Amino acid sequence: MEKALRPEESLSIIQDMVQRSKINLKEGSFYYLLWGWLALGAAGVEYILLEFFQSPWHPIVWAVMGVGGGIASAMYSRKEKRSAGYTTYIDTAMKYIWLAFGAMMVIAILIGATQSWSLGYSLIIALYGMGTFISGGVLKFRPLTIGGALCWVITLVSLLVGEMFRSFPTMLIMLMLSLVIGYLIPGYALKNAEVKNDAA
Amino acid sequence: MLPDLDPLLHTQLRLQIVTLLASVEEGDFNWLMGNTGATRGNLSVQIKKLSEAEYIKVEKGYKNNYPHTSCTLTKKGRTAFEGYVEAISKYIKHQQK
Repeated sequence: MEKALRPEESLSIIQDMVQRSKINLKEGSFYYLLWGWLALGAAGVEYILLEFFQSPWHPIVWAVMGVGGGIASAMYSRKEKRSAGYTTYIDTAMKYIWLAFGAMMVIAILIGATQSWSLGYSLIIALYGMGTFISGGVLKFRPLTIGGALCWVITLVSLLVGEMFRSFPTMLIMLMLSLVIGYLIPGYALKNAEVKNDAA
Repeated sequence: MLPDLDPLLHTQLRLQIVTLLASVEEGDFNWLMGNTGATRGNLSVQIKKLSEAEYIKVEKGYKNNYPHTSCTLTKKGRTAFEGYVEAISKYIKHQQK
């Protein structure tokens, strides 16, 4: 026989369940740190290939990084989803934000290859900013929002301030700077917040 | 005049299930079991009742070779839950008078 509830008991159950399902920060820092370090490494290798070896194969590093990072991200996401046991609307929103980001990255690289690499990389830095800024807003995590906005400042500087910033190898340094500001610093801040969140 | 309380939601475990599912897009059986503290058998029975009333949608399948049950709150279920919360608030306000 099911026991009927008193109104206060119902309210208490609802409050308890809402508290339990309160959206915790999932392990999102993993992606920022993985892609941040991978892209930083790829940009560094491309810079060396261009500056010291004048290799025409320099863009290949991005394809290698994309495949490696994609496989690692997919494996991690599968494992994380399995252990969490639930999917939130935020998870779905984030998935679509970063899928759109990935598609736009391909377009930006094509713009780089067909128009100008400086232009393509400016767009890539702005896209990093967009993904990070929106994620910061959705997760209500200010370091990501600030990191995203700073990526746009770097884009503006590289587009508006002097020819030197627009030369291609220099753009790679600007890209590395945006990765540190837009991915790695907010990524470590997020990791720190997750550790505190898990301990609470 | 106080509103009637939905009898389907006015029991502990079913209310727990629906409240949990109201805050996520989908939740699986183990997650519900962990958060409600219910036994496997009781949870299955209550999920079936909610599913028959079309308050939740249940998808059974396999994940990594293990059976996997995923539950989602339907539009009908969400409307019923919102109505239930509103009715409970009225009861509590009435008691406080």
